[in-house]
Amino acid sequence: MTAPAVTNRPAALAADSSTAGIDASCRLPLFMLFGGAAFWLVLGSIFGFIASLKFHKADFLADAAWLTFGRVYPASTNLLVYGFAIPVALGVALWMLARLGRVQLARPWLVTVGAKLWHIGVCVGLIAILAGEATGFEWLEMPRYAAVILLLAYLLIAVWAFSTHHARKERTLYPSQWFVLAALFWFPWIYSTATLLLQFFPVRGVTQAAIAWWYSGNLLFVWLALAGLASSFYFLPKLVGRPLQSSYLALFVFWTLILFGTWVGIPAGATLPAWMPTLSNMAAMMMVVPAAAVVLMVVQTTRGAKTACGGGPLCYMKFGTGALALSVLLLAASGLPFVNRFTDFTWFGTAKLQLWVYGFFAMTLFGAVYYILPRVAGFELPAAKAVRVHFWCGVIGTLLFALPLAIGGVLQGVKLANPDIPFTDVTKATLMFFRLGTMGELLILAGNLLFLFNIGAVLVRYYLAVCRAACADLTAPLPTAEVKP
Amino acid sequence: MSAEVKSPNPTTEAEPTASSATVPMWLIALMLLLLLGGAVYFDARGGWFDARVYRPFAALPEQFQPPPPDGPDLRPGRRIYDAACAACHMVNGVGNPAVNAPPIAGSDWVLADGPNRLIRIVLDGLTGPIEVSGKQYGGGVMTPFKGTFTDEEIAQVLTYIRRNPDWKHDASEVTAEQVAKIREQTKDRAINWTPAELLTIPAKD
Repeated sequence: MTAPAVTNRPAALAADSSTAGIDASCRLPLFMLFGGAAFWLVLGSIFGFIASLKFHKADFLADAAWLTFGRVYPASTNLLVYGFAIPVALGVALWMLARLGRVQLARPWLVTVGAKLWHIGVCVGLIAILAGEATGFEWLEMPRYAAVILLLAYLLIAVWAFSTHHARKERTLYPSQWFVLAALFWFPWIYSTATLLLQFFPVRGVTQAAIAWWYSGNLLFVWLALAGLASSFYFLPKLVGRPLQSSYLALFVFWTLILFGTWVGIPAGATLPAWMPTLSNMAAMMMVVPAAAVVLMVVQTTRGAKTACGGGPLCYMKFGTGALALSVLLLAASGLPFVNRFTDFTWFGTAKLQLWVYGFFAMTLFGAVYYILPRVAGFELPAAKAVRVHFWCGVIGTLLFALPLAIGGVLQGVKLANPDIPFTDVTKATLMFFRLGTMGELLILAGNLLFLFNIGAVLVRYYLAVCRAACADLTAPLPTAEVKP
Repeated sequence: MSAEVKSPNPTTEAEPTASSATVPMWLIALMLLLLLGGAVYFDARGGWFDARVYRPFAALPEQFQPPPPDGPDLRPGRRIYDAACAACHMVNGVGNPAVNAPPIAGSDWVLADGPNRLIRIVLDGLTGPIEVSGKQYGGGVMTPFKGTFTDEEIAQVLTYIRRNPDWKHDASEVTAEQVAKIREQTKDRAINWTPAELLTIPAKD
């Protein structure tokens, strides 16, 4: 081996608990998780873009069944969550567990197998959705044969995450570890419950709707929040070089988030017994508490620090916190009866979710990946400037998508409630806002392409070096001692 | 890119630590305040976990209260209207031009002196352009409900649309006997009514 950066022999690293050794143990699993995630992210945003074009020109690509709105839209949302969010969060979680435990990742090759299996599951699910086999439950469209693959792959990765955590050398826990461990348990619980009760042994009647909403609420408002906050609580103090303010506040965020977040998700107009939507709306309002605590924590941790973010990971984390606060304000507002009378079933909900999933979660995790990737690869990002460009694409794109749709959604709701305005006029009036939203989506797509480019370039460069080293090994003259006379 | 990525893989990189500052009191106060608000909100709308309470009702007695002392009970009719009619005529009765459904609220057909034409429309459906309260509506089709609802149910839903206080309607009540009589008279009819045909029939006996 000529290049030390690509040394990956287990024997050479086995007892090495330096950061370099830990990073090297995470290399292949993280390459697999991040690389696939970036690919699905770009593919998902392309599907999302096709879906939104149909609002401008209804007959666009309408002749092929697999490109109709009812298929490309769930394809885009599922790729965003299952293709991108979960693998990328798992990758960051594995790395944080190893780093915080001062221990190498356990069985990296099995984690790599798990990551491959996960991407196969996403691929199967995507083909099923495009083929019209979707389940019809929002955020849970992948049919059961894909769900089984996904769950197995997840467990394969999670088991070695726990094993890594169990073998940790630093016994004191850091707040990010609570969040990561809770998230690791949370997903198999909600995913298996929802899949069993909706697809294998379907429950009857309105209970199905209640379970589907429970699942999507937990997935988006608990799982994504746990994984995203674990990253920002780890990276923010690290990037500004100050301690996290504080461990008790993190505990407060943890419990209030889990307590209130798990009830969120049932819209006010749901045809369920009245206590369900009421309690769900109440929980949505209570989400202000963890969100306020997160903002307080981030402000107290980063205030007065002299670190300029310059479009790097710190910028991503800060913007993520802002998007979280804004999204929770919209969420809490839609829990109020005099607001949700107008905002139910309008673009308002889309704006809120985009701010949450992309503005908060994805942006935070982009920052984490940009921080981790050069460390596990052992060399700088090939296109470091693209990180800053991606940041601004993400910021402007998210705001350009979410703000017009939030405003447009309220106006749409007010007009829908007015019997003098015909329905078609109401729909036409939202088009202006939607055009702005599509521009935002284009910017987001451009940012995602830059993300894919950086990760792809790292992977290509790394594997080229591996191949070159292997060739050099093969073509090198045999040591004279081994040559028989 | 910021400075910390300039040198990947330093041999020792400090992991973050957390301070032990306490949670500020105002955050706890905010939570308690919101919880109080939430409790009041749930009390007012939650139906106290009773699975029989659905929106728009908020409590069991409200949903199963005795009929109003004056006038007919509109609740059974409202339930039928929301299930069968609201898809096109909308819950608030404004109609939907997208499917050529004329409004119910304030409609001169609904508020006619008697229910004779209304009963026929519900029994056998309606087709063709129609003028409602002086406004033309395109040729939509309303499906017949002859086989779907009993005389009692048709009377209930028509009473609801003729007397709905939300729409400021105060026309006469419709009885099951009136429906039964017209059902008998038109039992051989197999096609939709047209507005022109209906206008030849007196609204009231």
